Amino acid sequence: MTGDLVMSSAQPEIAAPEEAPRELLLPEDIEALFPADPDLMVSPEGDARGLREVKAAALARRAELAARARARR
Amino acid sequence: MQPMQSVAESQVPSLSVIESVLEREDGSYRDRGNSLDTKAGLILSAAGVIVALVGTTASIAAIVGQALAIAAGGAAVWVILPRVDKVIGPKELRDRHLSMDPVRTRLIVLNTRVVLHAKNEARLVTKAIRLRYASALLLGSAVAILMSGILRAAG
Repeated sequence: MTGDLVMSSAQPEIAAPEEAPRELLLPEDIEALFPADPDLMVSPEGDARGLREVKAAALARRAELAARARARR
Repeated sequence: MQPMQSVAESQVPSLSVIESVLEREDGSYRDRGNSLDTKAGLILSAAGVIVALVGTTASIAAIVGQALAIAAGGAAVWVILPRVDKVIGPKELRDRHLSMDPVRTRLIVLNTRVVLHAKNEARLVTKAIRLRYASALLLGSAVAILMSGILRAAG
């Protein structure tokens, strides 16, 4: 028991590396970096047409965001 | 902007608040959708009752009332048609995101839910507008039948 205490006190203290604070993400960044995923969308009541529409809207938005990002670069 | 591999929760401090608000909103639009469907069902039933009760009365006003009741019934079906049911599939979510960074998954789910929410809200507005037409047609039908009764009593 005592040995353990001696061992632990003898160990040099190693400071944990401080992680640099990351900057906050803005809504437009969030949308561009993590766009809506059409493959996650389902219609439990079987509204295939509505589902197609919402998936198409998500894909169109994704393409628009990608084009905007390309233009910015 | 390049795809980011991971994101710290400290970069999106209010993520959990936004998620819980969206959760409540999801419940709210589902309730509103059900309420609109119930009202449309009532209009459909009332229209059926009017058509059956008026029967083959040979009065122009009664026939107009019946026609309006049929139109109200059609409009009620038109209210029920747009479904407010788009959600994130649990199986799809598991299959695509199980091994991903959790904050990244939460943000993708959030953005997907925002898109679904916008679509479902638009559907709700459509349903509400159609319900107004159905209600107006049913009222018109009732007025026409009342007129028919008054005319019969007078003549």
